[in-house]
Amino acid sequence: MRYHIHIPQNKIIQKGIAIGCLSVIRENSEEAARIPISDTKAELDRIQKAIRQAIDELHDVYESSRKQLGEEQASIFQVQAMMLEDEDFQKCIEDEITQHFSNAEYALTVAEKKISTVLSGTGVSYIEERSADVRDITKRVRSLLNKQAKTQNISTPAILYAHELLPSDLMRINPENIRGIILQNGTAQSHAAIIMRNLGIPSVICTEELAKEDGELCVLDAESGVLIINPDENQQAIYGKKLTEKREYGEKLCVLIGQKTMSRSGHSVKLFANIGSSTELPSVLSNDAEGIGLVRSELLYLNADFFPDEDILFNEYRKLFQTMNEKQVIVRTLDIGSDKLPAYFGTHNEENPALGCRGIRFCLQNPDIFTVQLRALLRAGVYGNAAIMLPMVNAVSEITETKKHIAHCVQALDKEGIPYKKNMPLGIMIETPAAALLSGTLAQYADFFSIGTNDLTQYVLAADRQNPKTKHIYSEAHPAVLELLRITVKNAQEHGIPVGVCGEAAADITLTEFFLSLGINELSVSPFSVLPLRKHIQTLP
Amino acid sequence: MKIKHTIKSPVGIHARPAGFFAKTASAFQSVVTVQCKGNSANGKKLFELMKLGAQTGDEIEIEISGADEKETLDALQSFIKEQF
Repeated sequence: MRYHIHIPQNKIIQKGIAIGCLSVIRENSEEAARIPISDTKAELDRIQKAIRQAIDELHDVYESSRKQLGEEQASIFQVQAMMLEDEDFQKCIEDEITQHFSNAEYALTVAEKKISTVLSGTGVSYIEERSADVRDITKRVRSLLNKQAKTQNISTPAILYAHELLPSDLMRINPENIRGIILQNGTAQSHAAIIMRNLGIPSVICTEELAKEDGELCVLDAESGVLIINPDENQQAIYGKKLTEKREYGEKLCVLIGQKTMSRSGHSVKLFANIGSSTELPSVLSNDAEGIGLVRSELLYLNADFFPDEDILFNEYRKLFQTMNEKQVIVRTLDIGSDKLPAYFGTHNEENPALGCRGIRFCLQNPDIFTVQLRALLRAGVYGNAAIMLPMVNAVSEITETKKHIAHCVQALDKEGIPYKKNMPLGIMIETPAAALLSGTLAQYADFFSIGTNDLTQYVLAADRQNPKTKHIYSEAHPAVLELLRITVKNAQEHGIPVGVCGEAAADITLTEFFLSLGINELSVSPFSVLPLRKHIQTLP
Repeated sequence: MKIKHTIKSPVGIHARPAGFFAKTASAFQSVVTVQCKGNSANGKKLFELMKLGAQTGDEIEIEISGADEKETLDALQSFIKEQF
């Protein structure tokens, strides 16, 4: 089948172009077919490896769920791990492989059936119910076997097509053999998506149900958003040429590493990177970002099954600060609203989430959650050049209230004798019209400003960026938006505090000259935009 | 060495206590056998223990034999009292 599918921009995980043969990871049917094998040792290796991986995964799930769900609920994962460790279970699989020369997948099904039969034979309902756990563990192992086969045995570079990929799956792949990734499920903000971005593999989410086969030629244009399966010769030629051009452009950009970001007349600006978590650090370094202007700290919360505790946050922040060393890292505190709350926060339905309890409002109303993050930040602060930034600030009181929370944290840390960073810079996002208009007053309380153009634009124009019907109204270059930028920068300069831009507009080269002329100190963009932007700035007058 | 115990847990020997029993027993060299209602299970194997289907009020007999039977018994006894 030939397909030519349009992929919307918000379904693009990592931009880029790829041409290659499809390698399809199929979701497993419950029953695996028996395939006679000859190399029993290799088959045993496969199953043992998959079982070990499954046990490791279950231990991780247990650990992360224990703290929040409690021992009672979480222990089921521990029991599942024990089931996988059971000698009889393993022996049953091994016998099927060595004595009947069956493939690992089939042997697993045989073992599952045998154990289930045994359990249901007890006639005791609570034991019979455990058959569900047996199905669960075999499913986990089966999917690991399948992914193993797909991610490790790709010998020629391919485009991976999967229903879903877990971060652990991605850790096992050799990125050199993966030209692109098409996911049927997931979001561009997931942890797996972040790793794909980090690996720089062109990736998209395509929810359409496609008839696809291993080995079919595929063109993935994760820039303009096109997926072609079985392209014709003309399409192949066009994309082949595009790929070559891209490669040459990439090589040219590498020359800019280590160079200053300065226009021809000597206007200089710092180019920082926006990231979601420490997994993106390698791309921050390889693209020569001069700092990190925005850490979207909510990602760690969104990808967790439960509230990350202070130590988890501390370790993450320490990794960021230590790696960047003397370069500045600005962590934006939890920026979350009712439209993107993970389930464990409980439900907070709001009629209008964009105008609801989000960002700093949410944090101040949930001091228990906020304090954990502040403590982790203060503690990790000693490891580098760290700064805290508050999202959605509207009023001075939000800054002073946060400072009170910080003071409490500091007191407690002093008492506990735990080291922390003193006087860590505290800045704010300017992303509401109110904040921009009152920036003169806010500047007396904040150590720096960072203008979030995405929200600022949406709020000042009262137009939703995601809504196709208002998209034409939404423009970061709208005179009203630019006027607010002007006011903000002027006020920051009058009070002698630095000001940056960290929205999408920061990477928009049609606005770069305007930013430089205002005297913006720092532009924070995606790691992969740093070098192209540096190149552009060097050509400016 | 043998000990007897009447199951008090309202859910019988559930998967989790059985798992911990097997795990604890596996840490020792001694052979651990659990008997219930005429059936016998290797105390080091989770599924065998579950297969016993021991319910509240059932009596189980645990037999431990081997070089470290004393230590094995110590480790299992307090656990049984609390969890079984």
